Amino acid sequence: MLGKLIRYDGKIQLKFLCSLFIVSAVVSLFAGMMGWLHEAYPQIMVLSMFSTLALGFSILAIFAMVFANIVYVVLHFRKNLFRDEGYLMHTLPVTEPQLFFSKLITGSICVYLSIIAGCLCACIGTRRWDYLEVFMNLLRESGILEAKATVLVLLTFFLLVPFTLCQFYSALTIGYTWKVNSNSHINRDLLSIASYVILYMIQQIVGLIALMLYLVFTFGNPLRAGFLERMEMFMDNMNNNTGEAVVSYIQGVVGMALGINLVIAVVLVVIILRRLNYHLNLE
Amino acid sequence: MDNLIKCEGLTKRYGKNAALWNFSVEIPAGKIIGLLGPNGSGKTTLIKSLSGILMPDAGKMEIAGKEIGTETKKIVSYLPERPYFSSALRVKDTLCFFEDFYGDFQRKTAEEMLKTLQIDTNSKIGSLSKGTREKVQLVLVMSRKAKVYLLDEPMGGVDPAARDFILKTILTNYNEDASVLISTHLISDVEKILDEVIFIKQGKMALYKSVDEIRMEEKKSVDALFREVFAC
Repeated sequence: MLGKLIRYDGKIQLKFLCSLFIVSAVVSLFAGMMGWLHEAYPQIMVLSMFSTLALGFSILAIFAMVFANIVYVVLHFRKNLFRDEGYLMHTLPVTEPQLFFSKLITGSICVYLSIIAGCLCACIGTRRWDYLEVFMNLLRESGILEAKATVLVLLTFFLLVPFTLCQFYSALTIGYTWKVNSNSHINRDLLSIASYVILYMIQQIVGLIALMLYLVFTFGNPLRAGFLERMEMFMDNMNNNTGEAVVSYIQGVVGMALGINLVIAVVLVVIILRRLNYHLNLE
Repeated sequence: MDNLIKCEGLTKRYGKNAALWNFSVEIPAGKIIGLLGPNGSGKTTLIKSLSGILMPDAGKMEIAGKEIGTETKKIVSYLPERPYFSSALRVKDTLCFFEDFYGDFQRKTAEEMLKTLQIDTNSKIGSLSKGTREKVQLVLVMSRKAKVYLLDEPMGGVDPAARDFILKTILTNYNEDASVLISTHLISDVEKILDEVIFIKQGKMALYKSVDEIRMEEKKSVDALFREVFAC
């Protein structure tokens, strides 16, 4: 059943992404053509102006595509599970985890695809195909290419999408399943926004606590002598761009962020599933 | 005959208001039952609870001996009072959707009914009128060989001619081992197909009788009795 749900959700969301991609690709193609014309006829000033304008529009279109796609993925979750379509989805012979994970998987895939489509459009618009090489060079110059840190950085980027979606989905789930008086006419979307803000603040507090624990773990007890000196020494190492220090720092911080995000994501998923299982109230 | 639907002490509150209060009922198989009551009496709450989209605060519910969940959703065909298909879908997509998810869905039956109604399966749901959308939903819901049909205001927004079609569809499509629970205000229209009626008043059961009993004992139609019981 999960496969069927993924096929259904994916079809709807990909349709929207495809239409956005077509618009973005056309704008980028136009920008690329203007750039080529400008290079071929540098003496024509109008072409220079048009080329700059077209490139600007193309970059705007790329950002708009990725942003609109994320908004659509979140709105699809809301519409499909908590608005009228929810009356169909929640009466299907499928479990609540299947409903949720189909949205999470298809939503994440759509966001990844929109990012890939954005990169492709950027390449078309600027007529450069070496961005991957530029990125790799950047990692190489940072001295972290052959390190475990690279894997951690890439994993963090990769998991950022489902993690962000979990945040939005949990806020919507809490907002739409929170029990309110039927006569109070509370706007569920406002309740969802309030839930998002509260969840965000909790996550920040957890992050701060974890960072403090990390500092204590790395530099020892802050109440004992030598704590500041140890921190200064570490900073000096970082400033001198000692490869080992940078790698160790990135590994530590990124690893910690990844760990916290994973724990928070698991907690959010548990909250979503519990509320869908025990507190669903389609009004 | 075993009872198909069992509710025991069902309670659902919205703040201080109780939509259902200690509601208990046992519904046998093979009956068409009218769930009747004024606005806000708890009809929709009961149907939503049985379909699994509303969690009661207290009480127990069983359908065919199973607690409400994935297993009961396989045998319950639910028609809500609102359109639930995405307007971007075509009618044929909705047929595929039902075929994919419900093992008891009979596509041929649905296609024949749509043909009778002259509804083009290539039409987009968004381009159909409200009444036609309701008909499409009813056709899909009634094309399942379910054990329980929960129909919430199936004739709410349609013209009298369409109401006749809906009643005919219900009568000809439900199988005799199944039960149909119809919530409606349009008692006089639906009365002729009902076997039993449940009157709900302020979340509590006011009456559960067979239509024949009402006619024999009270010497009244269900509509007349309803007006008497719920007189303002």
